[in-house]
Amino acid sequence: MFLRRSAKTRTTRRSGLFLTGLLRYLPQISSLLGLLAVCVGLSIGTRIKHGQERFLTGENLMLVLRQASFNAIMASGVSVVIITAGIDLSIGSVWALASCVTAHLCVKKGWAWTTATAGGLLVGIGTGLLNGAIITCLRLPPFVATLATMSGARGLAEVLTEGFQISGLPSEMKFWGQGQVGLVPIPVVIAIAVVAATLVLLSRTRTGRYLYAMGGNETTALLSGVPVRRVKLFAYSYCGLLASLAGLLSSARLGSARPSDALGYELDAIAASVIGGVSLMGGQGSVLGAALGAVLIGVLRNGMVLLDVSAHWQKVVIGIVIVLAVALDYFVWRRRR
Amino acid sequence: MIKRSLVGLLIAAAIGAYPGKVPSQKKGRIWRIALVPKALTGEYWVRCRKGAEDAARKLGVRLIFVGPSAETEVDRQIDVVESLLARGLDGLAISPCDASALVPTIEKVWAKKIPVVTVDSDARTDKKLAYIGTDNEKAGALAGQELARLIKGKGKVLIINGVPGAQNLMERIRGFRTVMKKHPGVHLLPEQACQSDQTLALNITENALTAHPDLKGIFGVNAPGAPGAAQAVVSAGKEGKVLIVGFDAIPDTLRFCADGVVQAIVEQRPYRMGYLSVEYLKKALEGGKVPKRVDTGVDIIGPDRARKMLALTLNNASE
Repeated sequence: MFLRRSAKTRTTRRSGLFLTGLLRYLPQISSLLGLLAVCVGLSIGTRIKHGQERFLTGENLMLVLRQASFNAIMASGVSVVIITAGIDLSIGSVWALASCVTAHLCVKKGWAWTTATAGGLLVGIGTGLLNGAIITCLRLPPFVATLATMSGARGLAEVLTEGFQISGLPSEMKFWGQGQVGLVPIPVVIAIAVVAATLVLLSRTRTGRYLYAMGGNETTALLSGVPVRRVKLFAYSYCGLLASLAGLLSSARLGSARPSDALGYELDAIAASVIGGVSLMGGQGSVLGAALGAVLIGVLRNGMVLLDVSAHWQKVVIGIVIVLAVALDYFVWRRRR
Repeated sequence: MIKRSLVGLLIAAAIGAYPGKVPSQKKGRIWRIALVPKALTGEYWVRCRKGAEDAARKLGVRLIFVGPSAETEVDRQIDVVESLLARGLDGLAISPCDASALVPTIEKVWAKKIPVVTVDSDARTDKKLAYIGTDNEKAGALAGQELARLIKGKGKVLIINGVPGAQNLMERIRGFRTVMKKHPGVHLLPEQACQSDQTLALNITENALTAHPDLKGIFGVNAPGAPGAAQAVVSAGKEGKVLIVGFDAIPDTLRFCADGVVQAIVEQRPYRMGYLSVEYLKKALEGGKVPKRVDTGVDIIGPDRARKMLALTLNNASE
C-alpha cells in the first residue's frame, strides 16, 4: 500500500495536478493559515487592548519562539514515532528524568556540566531504547509500553532527587537555555536545527522511507524487507533523545531541575504534531507541520496573557484548535482513500 | 484495581515493617500514628515528614507516612485512609487533597474513636481534634502588606496562582486582595495560573511583561511562582524594577532572593506541622487536651536571611 501511495504521489507531481498536489499539503497549509490568522487577530487585539502593538514586535516574537522551541523539539521526536503508527507517552517523564540526572551529576556529584549533559542525553536514548525493546520484544502496544515508562521514569526522577529541587547549575550550562546568538535565543536555534535534521531524516533517507512504510502498513513493510524492529528501536530512541534534549535546555533556562518538571508535556507535543497534520493512524505527516503546531500553541498561550485573558480559557481554546485540526486531518485522510 | 491493591500492599509493607505488640494499658503503649500527606514527594512534604519522624523518634511513637503520589489524586487518598483503617491505627493526621471529598472518610475514622487532626489544609467537618497549619488568609495578607510596602502602594500587580481551586491558595489570594484593596493606586491584573509549573510561571511572566512594560509587582502564590517570575524579570533586565513576593523558600527562590530579584519570601513551617501533629495526637490519645486550631505561623525571608540560609545549605551539601 505504501508503494502504491508513493507511486501515486509521484505521478501527481509529474502531471502537475495542482489541486491534488495542494491537497497533499493541506494539513500544513491549513495550520500555517491558522497560525497567520491567529497572529493577525492578536496584533489587532493587542492594539485595541493596549493602544499599541504588543504582539508583532521583534522582542515578543522571539519570546514566543523561545517558549515554543522546547515543545517543537519534543514534537519533532514524537512525530517520528507517530509516523510509524506508534505513540510515546513517556517523553514528559524522560524530560524530567534527564534533567534531574544531569543536575544531580553536575551539582551533587561535581561532574563537569558537559559530561553531566552527555549523561542526561544518554538517559533519553536509553529510555527510548527501552520503549523500543518493550514494544518489539515483548510485543506490547506502544501506548501501554510508554505508559509504563512514563510512570517509571518519573518515579526514578523522584527517587533520585527525593522530591527536592536541584538548583545551582553552572552559568556555562545556563547559557544554552538563556543565551542568544545575535537576536535569536539559543533554544530556538537548536529547535530549528532539530526540525531540519528530522526533515532530512524523514524525507531524504532510507530510514525515513522505512518509517513511513511501517506506519502505512507494517505487515506489507515487513514483507517488503523493511527491518521493522531495528527501525522501531531507532524511532523510539530518537524520540527519547529529543525529549531529553528539550529537558536539558529547559533546565538550563531555569537553572534548576525538579522531578515534577514537564508534567503533561507529552500531550503538548502530541497535540502539536496532530495540529500540524501528523496522522495518529501513522504513515502521514511532516515534521514541519509538527513544528508549526508547536508555534501555534505557543502563540495562543502568549496571546492569551497579552490580552489579559484568565488562564482557564487557554485550555479551552487549545482544545478547540485540536478538534479542528484533527477533524481536518481525518477529512483529508478519508478523501485520499 | 491494580492501583488499589498496590496501595494496600504499600501500607501492609509500611505497617509490617513495624510489627507491634498491643499492650492493654494506655500509658506507655506504642501508638501507631499515620500521617497522610497530599503527596509523597515535593520539598514541602519531605520537610513535613521529617518533622513527624523527629517527633515520633522523640516521643516513641510508630509513624506511618503514606499517601497519594500527586496532590490531585483525591480517590487514591481515600483508598489510603480506608486501607489504614482496615489494618488498624490509633491516630490519624491528614492533609486532605480536597476539603469536602475527604469528609466522609474522616468522619468514618472519627466514628471508630480514632482521633484525627488535619494538617496544612483543613477539611470541612468538625469531627476532628484540631487543625494544624498555616492561617493562609493571614499569610496571604502578610504577603500583600510586604508587596504594597515595596511598590509604595501603587502600580500594576500580577498574581500568579498555582493550581486554580486549591483551598489554601484561594485563601492566600483572598487575604492578598483584601490588603491590596486598601491601596487605591494598585491595579490588579487578571489572575494567571502556572499549574504549579515553574516553566509556565516563567512563560506567563515573560508574556505579562510584554503586555505591561510598566508592571510593578508580582505575587507568586505557591512555590513555583516566584522563581519562574524572577527568571523572566532577569532576562528582561528589570531586576529591582519589578518587585516579587513569593511563597516557600525552595533553593531557586532563595538564590533569586539572595541576588535581590525576589524581595521577600513567605515561608511556611511544614516541619513544625509534621512535628506538632504527631505530638498532639499522642497527647490526645493519653487523655491530654489540645487546642482546636493551631496557626503554625510563617516567616518572612528577605535578601539577608536568604543569603545566610543559602550559605547554610551549601555547607551542608559540601559536607
